Amino acid sequence: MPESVLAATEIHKAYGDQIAVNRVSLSIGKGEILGLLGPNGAGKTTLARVLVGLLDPDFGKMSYFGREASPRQKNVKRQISIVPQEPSFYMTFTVEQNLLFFASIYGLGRSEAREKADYLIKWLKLTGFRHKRAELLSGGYKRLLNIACSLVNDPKLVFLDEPTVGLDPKMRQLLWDKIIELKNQGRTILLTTHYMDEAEKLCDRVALMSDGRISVIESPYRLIEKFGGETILIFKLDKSVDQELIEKVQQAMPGITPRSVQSNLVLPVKQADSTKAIVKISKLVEESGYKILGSIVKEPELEDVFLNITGSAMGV
Amino acid sequence: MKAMLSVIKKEMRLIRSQRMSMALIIIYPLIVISALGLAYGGDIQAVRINVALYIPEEATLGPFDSAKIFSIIEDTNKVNLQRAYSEEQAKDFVRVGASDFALIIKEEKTQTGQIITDLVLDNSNFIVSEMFSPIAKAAIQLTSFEVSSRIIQELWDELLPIKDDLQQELQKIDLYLVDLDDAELKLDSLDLSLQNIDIADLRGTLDSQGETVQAISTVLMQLNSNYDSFKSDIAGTRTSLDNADAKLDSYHAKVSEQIRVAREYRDSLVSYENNLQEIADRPETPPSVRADILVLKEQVTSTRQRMDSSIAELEQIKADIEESKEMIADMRQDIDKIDSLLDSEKQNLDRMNSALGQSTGEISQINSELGSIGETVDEIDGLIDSSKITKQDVSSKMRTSKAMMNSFMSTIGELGQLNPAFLAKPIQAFERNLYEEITALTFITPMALALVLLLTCLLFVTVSVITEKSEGSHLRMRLSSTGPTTLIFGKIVGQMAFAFLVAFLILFIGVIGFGTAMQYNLPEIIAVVALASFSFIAIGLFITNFAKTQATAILSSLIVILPMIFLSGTVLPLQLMSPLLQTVSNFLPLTIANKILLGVLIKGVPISYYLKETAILLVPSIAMIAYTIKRF
Ligand SMILES: Nc1ncnc2c1ncn2[C@@H]1O[C@H](COP(=O)(O)OP(=O)(O)O)[C@@H](O)[C@H]1O
Ligand SMILES: [Mg+2]
Repeated sequence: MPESVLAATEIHKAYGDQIAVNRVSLSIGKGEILGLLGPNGAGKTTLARVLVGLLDPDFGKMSYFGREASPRQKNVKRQISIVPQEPSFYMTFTVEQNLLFFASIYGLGRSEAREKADYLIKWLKLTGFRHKRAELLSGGYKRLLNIACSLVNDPKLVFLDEPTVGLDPKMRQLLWDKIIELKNQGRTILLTTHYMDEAEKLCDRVALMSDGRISVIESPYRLIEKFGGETILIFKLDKSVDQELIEKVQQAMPGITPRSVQSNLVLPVKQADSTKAIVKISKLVEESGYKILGSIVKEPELEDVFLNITGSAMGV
Repeated sequence: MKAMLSVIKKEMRLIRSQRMSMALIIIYPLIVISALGLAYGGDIQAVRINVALYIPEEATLGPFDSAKIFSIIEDTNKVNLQRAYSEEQAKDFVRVGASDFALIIKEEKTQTGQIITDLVLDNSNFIVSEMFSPIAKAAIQLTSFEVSSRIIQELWDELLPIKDDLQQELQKIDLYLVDLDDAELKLDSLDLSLQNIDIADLRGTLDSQGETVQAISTVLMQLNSNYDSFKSDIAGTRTSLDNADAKLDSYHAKVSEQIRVAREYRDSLVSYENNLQEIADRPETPPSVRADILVLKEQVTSTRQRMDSSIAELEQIKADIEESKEMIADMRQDIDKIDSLLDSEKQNLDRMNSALGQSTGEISQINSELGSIGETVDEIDGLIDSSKITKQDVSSKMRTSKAMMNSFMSTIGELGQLNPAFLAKPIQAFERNLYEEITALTFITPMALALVLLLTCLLFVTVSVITEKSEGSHLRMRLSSTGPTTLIFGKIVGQMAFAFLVAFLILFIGVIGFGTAMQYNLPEIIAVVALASFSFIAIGLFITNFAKTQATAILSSLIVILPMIFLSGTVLPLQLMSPLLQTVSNFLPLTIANKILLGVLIKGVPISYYLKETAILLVPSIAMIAYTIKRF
């Protein structure tokens, strides 16, 4: 396990009666992208705000960069940042003005700030909008500016709160690329999302969060392996499946319960056995006088993990 | 039409669903009505007016010195007096608002002796000065009346005892006049007497006849004395005879009376005797009784017999008395004879006397005349002395009367010096404006500045903060490594830059458009604009702690702004409000801003004069800012 950039223990935060974050503990290693995956209202934003110092937890301890500290301490503030879910900047300022101002309140000198702004504008492909008022940017570019504003202090630890919600696929891809770049720059990232694919694609580890609790933190692959359940094999045949074939399959692979859906043969198998099973079943089917028109291997996803663990589907 | 109805319904539901709007529907009427009500609710009559009064040490008013003038004005009890010790101090009291106007009594006077008073009104706010002008004039008039009545009273008090004294003196003078008349008469008569006397003649006669008269008169005096002694002896004898005769007469009368009474007794005894005899003689009278009666009759008879003898004795006495009377009558005849002899002797003497009469008369006349001359001379001396004394007395008293007259005249003179014009109006007031170059509209410039600063600073800062909060830049600032104190003060200073811009615009318009005569003291202007805007910004910042949206922020700002506008003297002069409300008003930031801006920009009062006001502005402002920083 790499050196811990953030470690939180027993973080608890309630709004009145409603517990938004319930005794959550987590730790992020250096250079890691940790995904906080959960449906709307799970408490992701609340947790992120607590960890970044915008909210005080009811109780719980935090340490940053190996030292127990409050996120309000100046030395911590200088090294962390959050990209809020909502665009957060001066709508009536230009892109550049926003960046220069936010850089200045982190103590950057004039030229330093300008340098930083130039870099971020270029990096986030905002060059054409440098002197445009922020309110005039499209949703995607607002997101980019939002990220740019959060990077003026060159943070080592970045919180990204649902960075791609409502973006078109192209913009989404751009953002993902940038997030990966951030990681490659050596930054540690905590990313909240309710998109499985996003978590699966970007995150080194994923924390599943629902109703204020984190149930498990693992790498996406381990999660699927552990909690994703069986791989589903589907063979498309040239004629409808008869009982004889089903029995043959059952005899050949004990413990497996094949089903037939019209001319499709459906077989749930263990993830690890899937390749072996494909070879074995193809042979058996062809021997029984069927022709395989096509086959689908449906691997388990985080969705399934989530369903299996929380007992409820991840409504978007 | 249906659509219209549903839009109307929607609108009402919309407002009702916004709790803030509903609250404001109640709060605005309440605040506006009560603020206006309070502002206009003062009792103008009850307003005590503060007057700064300067009287030069040397000032006099009629008979009064400066202290007295002060006490007279104080006694009118119409105003709160603040005594100033120089003209400038009095004006300063007005400048800083400690006094509503100043009365400055000048050393010079009018020709009629009226004191000249400058009534200095604070024309920097012409509404207020217009309001105080009649009040001030009335106060002066009142004082004026008071002064003249006091002067007249004082003079009258002086004149009254003098008048009484003079009356007494007049009476005395009358008496002196009588005395003098008297003395003059006496002297006149004296003069006459003196003219009638021929003393030399009288002396001659006296010398020649003196000796003869002396001799004769000696003899006559001898004779006269003899005759007189005889005469007196005779008179004595006659008197004793008369006395004896009178005594005998009374004895005679008494005896005669006794005899008459005794005889009556005897007669009644006799009839009683006869009655007893008759009863005894009657046959029916029993013998025993008869004997008793006879005894009784004998007793009566014996009594009657003793009575008879007494009467006889009385008759004898009576006869003796009559005999004595005859003897006296004889003696009187003898005496009468002697008397007549003496009378004839006396006639001889009288003849001799009359012979001497003339010379005696002359002598006595001379004597008496000589005597009267002596008396007259004495009298003259006396009169001369007394008239001398009288004259001295009179002239000394005349001198005191004259002195009194003189003092009376001088008091009257004093009265005379008091010109009627002076008495009618001892104080001549000239209305002066504290600021000569100020026009009626000048005061609107600082007032407008205060108002605009309030609106812009307060609303700008709330809008700015709420914008940052809703747009999320506030969040970024919280996360930044810059502390809230720096962020807030940076904001305040940034907002103040706009305040200065606004101030510049308003002052520019005021000077160019309205001809406002301004004090161009740049550091002071900067200080006062900074102070006012700072406190308004602080209020705005404070409001942002409780408002979540722009709308609520602006609406709640108005809740603060509206009452301040009504109660700060902007709409209605403070002086018209009740004293309590004035006190409250004096703590309102807008009131203080009005006051200080007017003072510094127009009146040229240095801001250092307004230490108290500055503190009232700054202390809560800093508290509100501190709270905002803490809640950042
Ligand atoms: N300021 C707030 N006051 C009261 N409840 C809140 C507040 N913010 C969030 N919540 C509630 O806390 C829970 C967690 O919210 P949030 O952290 O925003 O969830 P997520 O970001 O996972 O969608 C939700 O049920 C939400 O309704
Ligand atoms: Mg969220």
